[in-house]
Amino acid sequence: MLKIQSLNFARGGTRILEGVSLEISRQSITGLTGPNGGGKTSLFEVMMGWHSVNHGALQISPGTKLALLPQVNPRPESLPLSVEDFVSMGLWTSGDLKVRGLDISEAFERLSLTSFRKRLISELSGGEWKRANLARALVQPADLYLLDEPFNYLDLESEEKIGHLLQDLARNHGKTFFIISHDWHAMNHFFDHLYLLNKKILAAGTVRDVSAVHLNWLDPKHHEWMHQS
Amino acid sequence: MMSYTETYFRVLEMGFWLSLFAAPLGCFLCFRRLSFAGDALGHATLAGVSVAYLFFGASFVALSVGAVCAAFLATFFLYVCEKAFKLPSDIALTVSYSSMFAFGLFLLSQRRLHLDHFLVGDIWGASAEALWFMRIWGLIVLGLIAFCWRPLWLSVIDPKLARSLGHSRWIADSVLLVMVSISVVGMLQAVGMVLMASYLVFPAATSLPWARSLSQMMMGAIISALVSSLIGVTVSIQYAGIGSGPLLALSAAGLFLISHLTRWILRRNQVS
Repeated sequence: MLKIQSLNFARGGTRILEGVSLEISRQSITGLTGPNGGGKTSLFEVMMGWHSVNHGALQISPGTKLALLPQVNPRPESLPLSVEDFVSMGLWTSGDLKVRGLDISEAFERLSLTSFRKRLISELSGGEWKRANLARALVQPADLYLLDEPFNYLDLESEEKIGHLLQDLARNHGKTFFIISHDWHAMNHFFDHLYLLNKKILAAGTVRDVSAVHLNWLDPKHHEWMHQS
Repeated sequence: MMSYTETYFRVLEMGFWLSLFAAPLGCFLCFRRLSFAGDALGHATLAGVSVAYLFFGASFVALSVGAVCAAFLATFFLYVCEKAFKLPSDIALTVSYSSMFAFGLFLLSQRRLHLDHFLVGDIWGASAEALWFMRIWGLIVLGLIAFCWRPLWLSVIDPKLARSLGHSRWIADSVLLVMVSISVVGMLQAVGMVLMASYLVFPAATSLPWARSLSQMMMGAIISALVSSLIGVTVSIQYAGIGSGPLLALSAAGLFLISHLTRWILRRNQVS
């Protein structure tokens, strides 16, 4: 579905991505992890076509539509916007709606937001706000969803629910996900493939393959968990 | 010669059109973190108004063209500061309007020009051309807002989502700032260059505690601006020497206080 070959990207004289090559298969959940400042978010922005690259090729299957869940989404505190209206903004596309995203009612139900529909976004907790943002990303009409840290601020139950939802959308509804995450629990349970990026791709494979080669990227807590499980 | 009642209703009509186009624009500016933009652009227009006055005298058309040119120049300068110099919008605004205001003051002091009604406004002295301008511009602004509702709000609330959904933030921002720049001419007549917040920011801020959606906020802002226009214009009959600007601004500030205090009291009662 998407192939990147030898991609170089620099901004303000600083090299951010060097010779990055990766491939994303249709109907899969692919992860991207690595240290902070390693170029993960920049790679997403390059994939969205927001930056021109210095070298390399980015090939996307014709007609593929992309949607993005950004990492930092500051909440406009006093904005009078209900959760329902906020999520519906994901459908405010300038193009056609031939490709369908997740149905709004289903998004509310599966992300446990139904009872918050009429609430103002300023009245949500951090985790609820995160889920509302994810719902807005998933209702967007797209084939490939780039999700930047969707598991942050979530409890284990919500994380499991979202992981299963993404798996269902990938397996049964033809959607593809490319996800930036540092959450090893989510990665181990729900991701099909993982890339480790620190300006360059340092490792690729299943989560266990990558963690076996590059244990130094794991924090000791996760380290311990990996050995126990 | 118009009767006093005719003049009163003509002035009220000006307030009506001003409320109709300025209050909705203020809603966008408040959440684009540019609530100061109206006043800043108002200050910047002094340079254009002074240059126009020097060459063409006190004609409404000449002064308006001067004001719009100056507002466009300040907007362009703001855009360059934000995009090329990577400055935050508040710094960019302050630099652009202060320099142009200073230039306007310099011209005024050199030629001993008196443009007091441009400083604090004089809605009673507005010409028939000004009223026609407001009628036409009011309809254009409402049409543009309705047509560009989604890209305008997306670029204000979430520029990344706007890009992701195929909208250009640059175009949405430009449409917004051009609308504000031209609207400044109308507001100059009523509240002058130093009190534009009374039509741009106060109405939006007044409606905020009661609104549950973007359209409700905008309707509330228009209603609030209409009420403050009615009060300001009516009270200004008693205080002819003061000028309409301060009274319109004070009535808008009064409504703001009443709205927020009422909401605060209601919330406290609900909690207890």
